[in-house]
Amino acid sequence: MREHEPAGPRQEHALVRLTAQRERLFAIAYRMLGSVEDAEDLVQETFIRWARVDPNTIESPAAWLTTVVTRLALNQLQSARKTREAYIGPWLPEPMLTLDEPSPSDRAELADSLSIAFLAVLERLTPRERAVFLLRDVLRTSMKRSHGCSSYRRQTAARCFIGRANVSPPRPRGFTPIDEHTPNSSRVSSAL
Amino acid sequence: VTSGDVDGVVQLLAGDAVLWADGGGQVRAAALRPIRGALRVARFLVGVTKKTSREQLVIATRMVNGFPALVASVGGVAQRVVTIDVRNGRIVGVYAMANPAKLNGMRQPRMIGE
Repeated sequence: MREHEPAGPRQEHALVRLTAQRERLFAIAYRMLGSVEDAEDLVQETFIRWARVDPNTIESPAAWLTTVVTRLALNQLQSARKTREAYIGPWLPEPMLTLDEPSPSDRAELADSLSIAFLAVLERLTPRERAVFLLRDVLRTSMKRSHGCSSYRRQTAARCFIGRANVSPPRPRGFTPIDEHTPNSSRVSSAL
Repeated sequence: VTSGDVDGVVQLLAGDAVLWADGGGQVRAAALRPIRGALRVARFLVGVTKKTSREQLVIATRMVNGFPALVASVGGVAQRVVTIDVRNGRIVGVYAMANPAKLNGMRQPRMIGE
């Protein structure tokens, strides 16, 4: 990422880790905005900002990236509110084609949090409530598992938003584990 | 739905099922208000399918946002994406995306990110 330094093993390692972050950051931005293209733009913007900071000053790149992408999404959502209010008919999140590999059960909750039904419910929250809810209740488990963030740090990131937003958002209806309805979904879709 | 069997579709729906359609004001077939009730949702789905079947629509089941969904395409380009929300074996919500500006995510599949 750093142009003035030759890419040594350390930089390459950092680059590999950043690439692995891309998918995760996209999922956060997409859950916030419900738009594929806008989410991609925000991930790009997040990486541009990352390239401008000194990595030595950042304790946890994953947490830093999460914070930046969430704040950018929050800003965008706030400015998009008027447009969405003036939208003709119901506003629904953009559907996104996903790879049709069966989700292992430990990723079930994660998959469910990307469903159109769930994202449509998130639209009822204010932008800040949405950010708080996503960081605190939805991304909690996956961050812990795959990025080794200490629970202390995760709590801090979430509390940072909760403190600013000063809200305790209601748990949206529709956040149930996938295994409750997967067999039925496939039955229903085959019936259709 | 494609067979035009309204009663059969009603059987799959919860009594208080709701259909939301997003046409972005550009698509005539998209209802501007949510459609409530199993019978009305079923009639709408069957009616819309009948109307659009004259066009060169190909309807397939694809994974959308991690769940099975119906995708209607013309020449490989998605025109309508219908996702469902299932509780206790019945469809409680039907989400129909018809706004062409909001179908870019259907071009190529993605991994589900964490």
